Amino acid sequence: MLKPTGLEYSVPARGGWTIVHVGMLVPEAHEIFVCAAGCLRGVVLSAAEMNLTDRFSTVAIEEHNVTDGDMEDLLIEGVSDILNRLKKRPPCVLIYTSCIHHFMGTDLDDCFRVLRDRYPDVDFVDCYMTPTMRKSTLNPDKMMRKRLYAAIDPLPTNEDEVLLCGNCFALTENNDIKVLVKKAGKKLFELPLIDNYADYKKLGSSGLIISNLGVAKDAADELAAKLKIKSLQIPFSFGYKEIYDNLKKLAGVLCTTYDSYDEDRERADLALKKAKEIIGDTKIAVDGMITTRPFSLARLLYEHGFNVGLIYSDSAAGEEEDFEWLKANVKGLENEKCISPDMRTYKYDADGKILALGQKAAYFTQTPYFVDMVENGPLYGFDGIVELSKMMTESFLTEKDLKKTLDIKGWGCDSCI
Amino acid sequence: MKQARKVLSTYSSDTFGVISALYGLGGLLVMHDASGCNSTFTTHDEPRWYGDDGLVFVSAVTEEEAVMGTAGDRLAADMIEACGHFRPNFTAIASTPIPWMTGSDIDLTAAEIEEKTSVPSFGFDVSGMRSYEAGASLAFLALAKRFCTAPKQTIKGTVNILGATYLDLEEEQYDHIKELIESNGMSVLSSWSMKGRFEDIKKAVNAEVSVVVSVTGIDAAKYLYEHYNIPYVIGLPCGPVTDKALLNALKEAAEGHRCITVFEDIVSSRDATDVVIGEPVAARTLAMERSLSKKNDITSNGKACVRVISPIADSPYDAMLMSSGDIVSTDETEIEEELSKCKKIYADGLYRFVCPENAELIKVHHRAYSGRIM
Repeated sequence: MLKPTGLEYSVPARGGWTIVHVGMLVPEAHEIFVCAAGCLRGVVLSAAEMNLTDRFSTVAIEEHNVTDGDMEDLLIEGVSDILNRLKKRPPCVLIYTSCIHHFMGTDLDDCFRVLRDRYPDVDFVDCYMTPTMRKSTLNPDKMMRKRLYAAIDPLPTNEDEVLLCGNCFALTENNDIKVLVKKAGKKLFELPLIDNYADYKKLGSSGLIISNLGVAKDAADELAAKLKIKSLQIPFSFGYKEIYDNLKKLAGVLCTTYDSYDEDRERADLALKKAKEIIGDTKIAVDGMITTRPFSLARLLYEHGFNVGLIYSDSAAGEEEDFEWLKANVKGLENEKCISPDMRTYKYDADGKILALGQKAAYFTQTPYFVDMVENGPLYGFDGIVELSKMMTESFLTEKDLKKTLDIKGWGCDSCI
Repeated sequence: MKQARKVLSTYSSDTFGVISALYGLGGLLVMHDASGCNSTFTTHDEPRWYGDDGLVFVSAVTEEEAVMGTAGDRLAADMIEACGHFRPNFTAIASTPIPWMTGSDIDLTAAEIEEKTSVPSFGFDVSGMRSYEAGASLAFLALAKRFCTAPKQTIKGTVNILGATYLDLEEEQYDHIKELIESNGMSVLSSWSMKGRFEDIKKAVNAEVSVVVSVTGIDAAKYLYEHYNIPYVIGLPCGPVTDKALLNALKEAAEGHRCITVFEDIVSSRDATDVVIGEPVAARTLAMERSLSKKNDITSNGKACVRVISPIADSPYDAMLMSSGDIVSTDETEIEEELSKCKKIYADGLYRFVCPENAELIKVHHRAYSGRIM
């Protein structure tokens, strides 16, 4: 057994979204990464695999730029050269700088000032691929969610417009949030459903911002402050009480009431019961890729009679209560850290069929029976539990091609692989 | 501007070149990087990652460690611990932009690991800003210097294959070379490193001749020539013409102790409308094959009718291997301009964005360029 080290392993499960995928949610925006070749390699091919090469460009930092001290010129002239050569001028350009700019103290303010002067018809957004600073500042994922909304400017507020902030996937039609917003006579806007830049800009008239992902909270708060409106975080959870509290809180802010708790809970219970009837005592493995709350999910399933045996997650941060509850109540539950180097040679000896919830759990257990989804997908609340129960049943009954599925980068995105 | 690319992709970097060259030889390989390099390399550059147990990790260096200069000590401790667990044949650390820029002493870290574990250890002070050619060349040369130390006992008819990374070659290409060698009464003594074995690297000194299939193998080949008098032949056979040329060259090299480049007599025409874009050894050999095959011919001025563009310029051999009608260019605008005069283009599929509409693109997959995209 290897003692914990700082070395990190990368599981060959590619469904997670990167800052390239997230940035592409800004409709019609063009991404330009200004980085060293090694940093460009992953992002340029992510865009190519998404068939979005026409919305992606690069400026390569070379060794001489570091010694010559011309990082500002490189950024300004590189971006200008690309914009001058594009057939159509994009309305918005996301410029991603990298760790090296920040270590060298590159004057990014000046770079952006010059570019805005040169191209007044373009919204330039400063974005960051700075993994070295992941522990000392906002991590790149949180930062990217913030930058997603940076080009939105305040418009006259429309109290009937609600923005769900920071999610990469649109919610299911009957989702609890959507139902409540509709009940309040308001309209919900979700970035994944917005397909042109003009509509993106109109988000500036939002009257309320809600978010349910931890990585989106800063983005929601920052945009709300800019628009001078309220921001409400209703954290994603599989716990009934937490969901209830959140929906009640949301209803209050929307000036309506949440009074379908009994029905919603029954619907979720029934869905889980049906799934259990089919899945039976099959061992279930959960990972931290399918959901932001793997321990909450494991607890929900255990409380509904499922045989939860394995959790693959690097952290229990934010769900310590569920983690402790599982530790105290579930005997033999194994919990593995995915990035630990010894996971490279980890072999799980499955004693029978396994249903995996998430790509990493599927890889580690090598099961063709798995729910393929990342970061909660389109789920939230009680309806989310109903939908997940259906996915579990379907995945239990239908084999998937494990390698082929895990190979595709950016779950839900177009892929040429 | 040369460094700005509107639409073209990026070649794999020196960091990944190091790891690609060494992967498969049983080493503990660490990219001294914050995060992201591991996923990039194993997604796009290393087709064996899924289900394999090759050891590649990142150091997960943080800002604080980089600023305070403590990353090296921590990395050494982590790798020493990992050596005890994995028992690798060797260890290697490949740097990335931040450790490179802050002057991390990678060699010292490697030396410390070796001192504490007795596992041969390498430090590669690459910047992450050059192409894979630079990194892979360093790695192969380091292997030669470190492990090719035994007295030479030439085994007649044996061949080393050098420069065979998954970044440049498909397994089919490797199999073709191996079969070509074996079906002509010779055998492969060592492969650096596609389908190669660590123990065979040490035996490479006994080969009669080396075949260099990409630029990345040239420095190691020169080393073996200079220290063990093993001549080498540069070329990546890809059809009847170049198969034959390679076999003749191998024979001639072995008999005459002379190093040969199979396409050395081929001079392309600057006006040729057929062009190959790619790694110089592969591209020049393919251009030779197409120029001399039955359907084509040498042009009226006596020059080859297929020319080459090397879009990589990080090795001195990139330019040295070109003939007068070929060019080395990393400039997207210049490449686009050159292609505008072409009718037939042999290149990786991701060059389609700069190919003129009336030209025929014949796709030649190059993993170092397009990764998994075929």
